[in-house]
Amino acid sequence: MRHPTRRAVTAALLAAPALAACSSGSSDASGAGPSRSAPGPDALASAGPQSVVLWHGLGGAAGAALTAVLDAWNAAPGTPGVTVQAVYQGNYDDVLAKYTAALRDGSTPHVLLSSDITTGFVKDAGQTVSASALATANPGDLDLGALRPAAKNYYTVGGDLLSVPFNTSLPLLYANDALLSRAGVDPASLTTVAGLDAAARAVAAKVPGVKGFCHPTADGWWFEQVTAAAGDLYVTPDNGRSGTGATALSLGGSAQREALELLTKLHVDGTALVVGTNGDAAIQAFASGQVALMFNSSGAIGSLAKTGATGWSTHPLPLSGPAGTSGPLIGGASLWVDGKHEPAAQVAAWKVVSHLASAAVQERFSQASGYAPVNVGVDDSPTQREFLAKNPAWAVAVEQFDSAATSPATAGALTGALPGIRSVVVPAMDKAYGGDETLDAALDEAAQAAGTVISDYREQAGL
Amino acid sequence: MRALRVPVLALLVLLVAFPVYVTLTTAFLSPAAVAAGRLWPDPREFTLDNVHAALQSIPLLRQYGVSAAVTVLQAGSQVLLAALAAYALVFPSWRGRGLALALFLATLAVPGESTVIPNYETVTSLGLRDTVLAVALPFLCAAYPVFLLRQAFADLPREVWEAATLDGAGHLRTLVRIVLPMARGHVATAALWSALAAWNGYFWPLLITDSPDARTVQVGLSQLVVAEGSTPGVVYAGTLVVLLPTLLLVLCGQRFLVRGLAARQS
Repeated sequence: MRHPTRRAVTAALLAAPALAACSSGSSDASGAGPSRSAPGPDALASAGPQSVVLWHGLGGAAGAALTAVLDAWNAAPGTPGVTVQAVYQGNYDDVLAKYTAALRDGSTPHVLLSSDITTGFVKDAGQTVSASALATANPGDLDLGALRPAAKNYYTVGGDLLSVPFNTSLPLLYANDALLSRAGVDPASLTTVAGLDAAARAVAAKVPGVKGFCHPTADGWWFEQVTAAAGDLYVTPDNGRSGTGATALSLGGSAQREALELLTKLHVDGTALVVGTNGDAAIQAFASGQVALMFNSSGAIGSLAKTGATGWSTHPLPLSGPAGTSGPLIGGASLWVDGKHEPAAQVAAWKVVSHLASAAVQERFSQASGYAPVNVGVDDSPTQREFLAKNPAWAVAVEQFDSAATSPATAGALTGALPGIRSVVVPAMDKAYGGDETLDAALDEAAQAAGTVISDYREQAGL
Repeated sequence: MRALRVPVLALLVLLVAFPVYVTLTTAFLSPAAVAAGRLWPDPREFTLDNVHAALQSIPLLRQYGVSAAVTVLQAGSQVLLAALAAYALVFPSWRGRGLALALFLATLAVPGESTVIPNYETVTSLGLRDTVLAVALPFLCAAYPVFLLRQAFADLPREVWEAATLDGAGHLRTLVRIVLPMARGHVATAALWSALAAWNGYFWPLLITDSPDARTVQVGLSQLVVAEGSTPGVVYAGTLVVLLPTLLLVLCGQRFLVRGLAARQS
């Protein structure tokens, strides 16, 4: 007997996206995916009590916070007759694998919380109804205008908001203030990749036994971040957001190329600490003072605080491109409403999604989990102001979220092939970081391999 | 060469023991002590907080019960069916025996991934999704234990089987009273293999269940790992709790296995 491994099964399941894309009747001809028509409040009013099932992949504090929010909803329902059951389905990869299996027998949940990079896949599966359509049909529920533009940008295709961002993380630069001070680095210089490079080199040169920078290559998110921070596209055309979607990896931008070159040099010449793919290893190295600067998700703030480390600060992602078009990409996950259930169930699901994206819930969830609140209404809350005053590291993330440029570059790559692209880009870039290959060779290798992944996906999905 | 034996063995022991040591220490250290990264932490830094947090985060004890039930059901069924199949493949002569063995072996070459979706649909259509039985159902029979026991039975003196037959013993009686005791080392190996695979199963139990109460401890453990920043101490503490039965099984089973093999050799 052999139990298949998670990664292998995910790959196997993702190898058959056509099963979803082709089986759906709601996909429109252009491949835009989710249906644009949605049921309204009448559907729910004429139906009996509704039980909404929500699948998610949130463990730890975030999972507990989500459960607490939904338990409170069930105990004192915001809408009479609607109860919700949250079901943990493993990590983000597992959630997607389970969702893919469920597509086969029609057992998909009413609400799916799926990670940012699965947006293209869930869209192509064509099983969901768009948030824009639901918001239009149900004007009494979530006001999409209250959601932060940077979060909406990622999940919007052709002006249609497909899903509602729920737990949103942002990239941050973490700095050990004491080490920077010993090296004579002005933190104000950390706004650009060139400034980051100079600061890392200064620390490594002036503080014995300390590395300048570390960069978890974990899941390819950071290569996408470097590209967005350069104001460049990651996939063409138009980051996969027009026509029939992405056809190739784009590694041709000059600012993107320069940023990657600086980061590669830092690793090759030993200024940076190689922490591999493990984000936790980066946190431990930073917390123990082995490294002065670190790229990590805003979601790492809580873990870092738990280590008891002090004297550190956070800074926005350093940019290397034009101010108006370059910026950070969000991470995290968004809520999708399933369009294959009865109209009453869809409206009930939308009410749950509306509740989860509301200012009150976002403030509570954000403070408990460490994710950034997606609803601008949270900014007016006195308790949130008090929280941010006590948590300056966290305030930087929220400020960055609020001020991020919204452009095709910062919308991020939209393609169902993105998980597969990451699986070929990360090993190629690791070769460049390890000095085993030149950056040019690594980028060529990544572009070629990603091209094959994209064309295979397009063929299987019938795009 | 003999002079090299001790250092080589010492190195091998170190390779195995070091990750266990790191798991043990990390599981009982506060996040601050873990971040300090000391190889030999001060005993005063040890705490039970991580174990407590792991047990609080997920219904580990309930899921322990599910894992134990699945392991007993799955391993028991696999060994039982494997013994019956192996007996039929070795002792009675019948047409197509070679082909049947080849078919069993052929299933070993089928990737587990390719059977996930058909199994999911079958179990769902039976109305068994989200049950403890569904977790074990597709794995009640496996080819490898059949192969293992078939090889073990084939090594037994055929005269013993013939003598039992002449004495009027039926197939079942011969299997239970004569064949299995003689091959107990291999039976133990098959049982251990099946039990470890059942206990360590992750993806299928996750796929086929939804309720925390129907899930195995491995699925529960994954909930401690957070995509954007885990607490290593809690994850290691959970790992340790989940790992203990496996370690005990291997340690106890290993002794039994060695005895069984030694008995055969003598």
